[in-house]
Amino acid sequence: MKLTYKGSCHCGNIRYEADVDLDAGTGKCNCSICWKRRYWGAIVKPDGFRLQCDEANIADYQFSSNSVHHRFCKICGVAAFGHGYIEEIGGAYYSVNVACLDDLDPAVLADAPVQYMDGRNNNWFHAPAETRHL
Amino acid sequence: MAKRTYKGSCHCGKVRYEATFDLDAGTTKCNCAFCINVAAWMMSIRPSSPRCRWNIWMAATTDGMKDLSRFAISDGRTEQLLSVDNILSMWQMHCISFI
Repeated sequence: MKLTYKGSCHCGNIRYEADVDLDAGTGKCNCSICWKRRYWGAIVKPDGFRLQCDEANIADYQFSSNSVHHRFCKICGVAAFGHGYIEEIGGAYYSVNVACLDDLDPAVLADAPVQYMDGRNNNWFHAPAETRHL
Repeated sequence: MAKRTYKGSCHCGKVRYEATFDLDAGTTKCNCAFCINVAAWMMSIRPSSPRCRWNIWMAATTDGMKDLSRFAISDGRTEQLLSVDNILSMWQMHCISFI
């Protein structure tokens, strides 16, 4: 069921609202940035994401093809969300870090289905052989 | 497995370090607010190894550590975090999880 969640970084500098259906699936990936961050994301359409803070305090990290903006707080470092344009998943999107959704029962997150992506081998729509470390 | 020396780095390579430890001795995950936000997966080591201290001190001279120092100040845990040993603790907490 799609619900509206509030999300934030640790220090509260980044704040947003996002309409997320956790039952529809979350994602973990073994690409270089997701691995280092152990990022756990949920994809939402741009109209399902509403930033509620000043952009000035949010860093924007890009690399390689620059197709994704990996956003993180300049103060606490927490990677609270990202956004970009990837044709294969329907174009423009936002990704919220589900570990940054506020006031969430841990059991709800634990029950959320996870789709694993083998980004490390540029094989994004298949699960890698090893996922336990993600 | 015996102790090994690992190289660690952030994604862009600005932060780099070496650390020596035995992964079989146990890693740690935590459900505190910060660890949940960063999905921290940690290996705690003592700052007694001169090699470890030296390498992290060298790293502290890079722009990356300037950023990290600012983080320490901004995070409200001032002063005591700014000694080498305590900065090392921060590295343990926030970077060695990224091995």
